[in-house]
Amino acid sequence: MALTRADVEQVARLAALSLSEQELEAQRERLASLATHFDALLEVDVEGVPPFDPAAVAQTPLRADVVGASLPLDEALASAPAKEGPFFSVPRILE
Amino acid sequence: MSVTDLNLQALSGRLAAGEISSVEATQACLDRIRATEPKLGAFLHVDEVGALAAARAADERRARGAPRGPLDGVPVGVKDNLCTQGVPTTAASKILEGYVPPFDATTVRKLKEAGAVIVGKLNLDEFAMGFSTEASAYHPTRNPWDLERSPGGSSGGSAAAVAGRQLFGTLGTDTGGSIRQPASMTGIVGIKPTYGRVSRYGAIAYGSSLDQVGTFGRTVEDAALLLQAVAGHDPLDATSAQGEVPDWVGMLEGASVRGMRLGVPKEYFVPGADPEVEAAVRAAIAKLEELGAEVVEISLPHTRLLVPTYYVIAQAEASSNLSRFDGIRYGLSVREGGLERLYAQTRAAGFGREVQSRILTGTYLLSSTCEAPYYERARRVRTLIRRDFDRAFETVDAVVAPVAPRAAKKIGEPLADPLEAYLSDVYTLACNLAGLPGMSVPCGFTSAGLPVGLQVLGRPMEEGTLLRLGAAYQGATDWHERAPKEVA
Repeated sequence: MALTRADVEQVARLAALSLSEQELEAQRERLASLATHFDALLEVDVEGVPPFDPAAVAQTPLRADVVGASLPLDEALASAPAKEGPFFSVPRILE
Repeated sequence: MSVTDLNLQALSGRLAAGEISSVEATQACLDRIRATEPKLGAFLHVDEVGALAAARAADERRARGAPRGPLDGVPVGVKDNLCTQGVPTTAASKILEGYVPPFDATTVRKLKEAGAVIVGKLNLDEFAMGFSTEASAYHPTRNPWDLERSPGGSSGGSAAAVAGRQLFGTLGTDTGGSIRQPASMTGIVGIKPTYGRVSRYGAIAYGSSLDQVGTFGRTVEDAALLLQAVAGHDPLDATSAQGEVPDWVGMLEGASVRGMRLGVPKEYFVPGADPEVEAAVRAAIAKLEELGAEVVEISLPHTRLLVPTYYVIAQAEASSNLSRFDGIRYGLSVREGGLERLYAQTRAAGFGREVQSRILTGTYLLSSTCEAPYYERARRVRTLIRRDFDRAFETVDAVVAPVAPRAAKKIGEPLADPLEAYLSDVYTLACNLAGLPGMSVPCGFTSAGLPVGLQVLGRPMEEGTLLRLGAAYQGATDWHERAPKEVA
């Protein structure tokens, strides 16, 4: 499995994780090693086998489309690291 | 004998008879927690004020002649990945330090409605990713049977609190063995119900197609009493199963295994396991046979694929679930630079090493960088794993096996590589992958005095079979009555 440093950087970007150079290399080695174990899955004949549905037992019925109470604004914002009035506050994304 | 030495059912009886009040029982637990917690480390948060208020309310209901049932006034605890309104919930992660949920998990709400007194939040491996509770971002939990050892995990705090006589019962979650394995390591009963049997609403998600909330007790009856209270359909969980919850507690009186057919999977007895653990499990199976069960060898041919299938599915789902922790709405927030930097810095600072590794692996598996269709394959292999059990259940009523190849490990004991760690929970993975109910029941001790559990797996929605088997086994053995030596 030829997993490059650039591949791992791309995955870390997708995962929104800031990794040091050292961590990137450790994760590259770890991923490459895990992938060899995962390869066992590729040797199995799954022709015609459907994906498992864990929720088959649930029948997932539709509920009535009725408006219910929602979380009060002050409670929803209570744990926010930064807020402004009735909003969550984030760094500026548009100049 | 102290109040905390009673099991849940016995305490419930004394509360009903007016021989003890809930405030007395709760205070006894709080005293015991204060005395033992420096050594055990089972809790992440003790809600003394809330617990005593709930206990007083339970006593008032009883005084009015209106108790709510067998759990009214009983002190219990929940794993810290179950949301509790107004009480800190961290999933043992720094990224959720200080988070106070504005709502209760459905299981927590149901416990409260049953009158149970929620004393505190119990330690776990961060986001339930681990098998020893050493991966908690706060502190490890220690095994009441040997303080040098882990209580197992990830629900190690929930298990240690029950085994260490701090609480009468607890809730945990089980994604790949996180209830059954710590139950086995601490000599108590742990039940992982059928997928869909118990609501996952408010349970902080790890692998959504695998996660299930379940119960711990010192006896099968205790664990069943808690399960009875939390099971049932919940419109807030789209994967919650319809249908009535059977009267499990009612079927335990005089339970018998006579006429039950039990399958022993040959793939679960392989070289490399501790011979003492295997001997205890074999002896338990022989005891069940002596009690009238018919025991046959079965084969679960896809067992060798459990580890890759589980880790592909669990890590892919984890990477998706944990994307919600972004430093915006709650929890840790590292604010330097723009929005993307906020996300990446917050997550790097807030998630522990194991969690970051799993997120990366999962992201890789689901990304176009990954050259092989592992995830899609794993979902199909999962069907094959379930079919192994469907075939077995055509001829047997339950499967009996070890929970783990070894008894509790030492804290800090290194494992060669992540795969070796994963192999240590191979026996518990099938239950989650196939969506079955599973249970661990105490079945012996190693020569070093460490508990060993017997794992029982049943047909979907047939928790009753497991509970009856467990109750019958307990009726003929006394492993569950043994208590760890004083840990205070």
